[in-house]
Amino acid sequence: MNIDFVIIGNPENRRVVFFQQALELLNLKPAKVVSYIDLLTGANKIEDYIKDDVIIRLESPGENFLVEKELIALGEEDGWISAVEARGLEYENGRIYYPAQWYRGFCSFLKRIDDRVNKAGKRFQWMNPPGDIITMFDKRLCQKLLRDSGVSVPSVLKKCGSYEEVQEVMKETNIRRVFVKLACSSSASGICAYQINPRGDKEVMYTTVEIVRRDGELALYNSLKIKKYTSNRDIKDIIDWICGQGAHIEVWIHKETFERQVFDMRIVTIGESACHNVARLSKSPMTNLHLGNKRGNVADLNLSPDKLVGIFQEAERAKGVFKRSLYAGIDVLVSKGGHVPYVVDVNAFGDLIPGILYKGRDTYGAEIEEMINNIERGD
Amino acid sequence: MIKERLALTYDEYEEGKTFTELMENFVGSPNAKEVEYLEVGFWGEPYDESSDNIVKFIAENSSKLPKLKGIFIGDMESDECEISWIEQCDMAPLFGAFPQLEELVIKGSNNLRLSSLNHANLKKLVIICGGLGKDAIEDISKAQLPNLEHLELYLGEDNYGFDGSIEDIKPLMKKGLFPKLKYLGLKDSEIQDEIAVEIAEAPILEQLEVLDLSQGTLTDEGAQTLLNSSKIKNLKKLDLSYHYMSEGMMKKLKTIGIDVDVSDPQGEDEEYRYPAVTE
Repeated sequence: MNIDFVIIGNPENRRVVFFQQALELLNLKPAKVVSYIDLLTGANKIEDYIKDDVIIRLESPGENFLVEKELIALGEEDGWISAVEARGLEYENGRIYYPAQWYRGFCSFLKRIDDRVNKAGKRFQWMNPPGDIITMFDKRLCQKLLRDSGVSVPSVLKKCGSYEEVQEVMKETNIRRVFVKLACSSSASGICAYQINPRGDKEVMYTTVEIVRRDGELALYNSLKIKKYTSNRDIKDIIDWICGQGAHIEVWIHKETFERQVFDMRIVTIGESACHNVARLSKSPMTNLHLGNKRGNVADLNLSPDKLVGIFQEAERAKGVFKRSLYAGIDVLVSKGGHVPYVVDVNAFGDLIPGILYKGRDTYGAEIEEMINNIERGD
Repeated sequence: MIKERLALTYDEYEEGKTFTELMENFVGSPNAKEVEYLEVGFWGEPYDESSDNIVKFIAENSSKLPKLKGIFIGDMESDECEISWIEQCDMAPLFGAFPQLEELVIKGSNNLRLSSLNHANLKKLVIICGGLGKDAIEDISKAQLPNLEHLELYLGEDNYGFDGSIEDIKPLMKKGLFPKLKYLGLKDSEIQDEIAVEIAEAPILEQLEVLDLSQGTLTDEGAQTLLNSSKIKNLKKLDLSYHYMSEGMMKKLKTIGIDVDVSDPQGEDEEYRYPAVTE
């Protein structure tokens, strides 16, 4: 079959490599890869790659500092730093730079690409269209869409601009335990599990954020080791910072445990079906796999068959909110004891779960097959 | 072993169901009289309401629980309640009400006491917490437990309730304090080195099979005295997992001829930073 794929991505990234391998396995010709950096700097134009019947795949822009800087530069309007300053940022492992400005830049980029592809005047298809990716990356908007569509999601606290407001809202609503997340960022960056204890006004935060004070300035890092903060100064600084970047705050639901570790599930949903899935087990409230957490089989978690069906249906319902997209990585947890499923995240680039097969295909292979089936059906 | 677990699920708690209802249903049920091990999990707001009412309720209903041999109070994960926030109470009523009790496990130590502890059959006592108060440590060191075989105490740090010093822990290292003791865990301590130094030549090692100094801040300093100890080889097992010892020390400990667990070494924080990953 002669199908042309184009990937917008970081060519050195394993995500691109895995997708090419999947094409090869299916005896399809390799995708043309257009790098983010070339599109951002104008060294390359997306319209040059658009011809009739092309399929375009948007990959993650992550793990490439040049790209990160260019996206922050692109988001300079009403941002924290100018484009020139953005391009002058120095690389530090794990440093979180201006996520809200980064997201603004990413949105501008995606809209620009969308526009140019449309104007090319050809027949083309997105695997996942830019508009959906923009929405999935905004946790506040995404969770609202899910809720409005009847998907089970954790309750959300009203918008807070500061640590004091978070305190106030938590006391008013008698909610003692929340997740404070960067509203617009990748799913594992800037996540805090925060709880307050009415006795003696104690508070504790578990987070992937490491806070460093240098010359009177705050620097934040992603930490692979879960940090525990109990000092008011640290907690306040972190929450104020996240609120400044835009916070999504939701009720912290007790996750079910398996062998004394809490778990949730990443369910890659392709088309209308929940396909590849993996359990993510953790001793901390954060379950993301790159934090050194354990991968497990969903089938081994002692969930009853009908609860499992319910979990997969919930993932499919969440994916149904994004009908124009071919796939998404849906994170679902179940409450302790009752096993009520809750969708906690929809990841636009959530299909990187190497080694997990479904009907003999990895996520990339399954997506390509689904795409081809859609074309053959004339969808 | 017939187990029963009493715990509010997240959804039940949200719906306003109470732990008292759970307990009343349980003791009123026909299988209560068969239950040998009772686990008490999340009871609502364990950071606000202590286990006092639960302990008293179980004790008052001891006649309906004739086979009960083991109790776990506070069996919950940090996802349900921060361990250092769990409010406990004086466990004395349980010891009086259940003379046949063999095992007691407690998680959480705020306001925990084990006053006037005198029990003929208790074999195993475990306290898991972020910091054990010196009052509770003293209760244990004054206890009469002629059948105790396994004592495991998470000592923790001062932020979470450990307000004692090595002087408060020393009485637990006395040989014969519990004549049948085979497993002693003085672990998860911020003064793990001091404990290691103190216990390295203590006569109690002559009666123990397992010494558990794991989960704490053990460094080469404390480990060296264990290595030099003339008594350490009498043990069957020395558990030092989760520690801050050097590679070299770990190797030396592996050669002393008994089972030594040196797994889970802790590194420096800096190397844990990761680049942004966009999922």
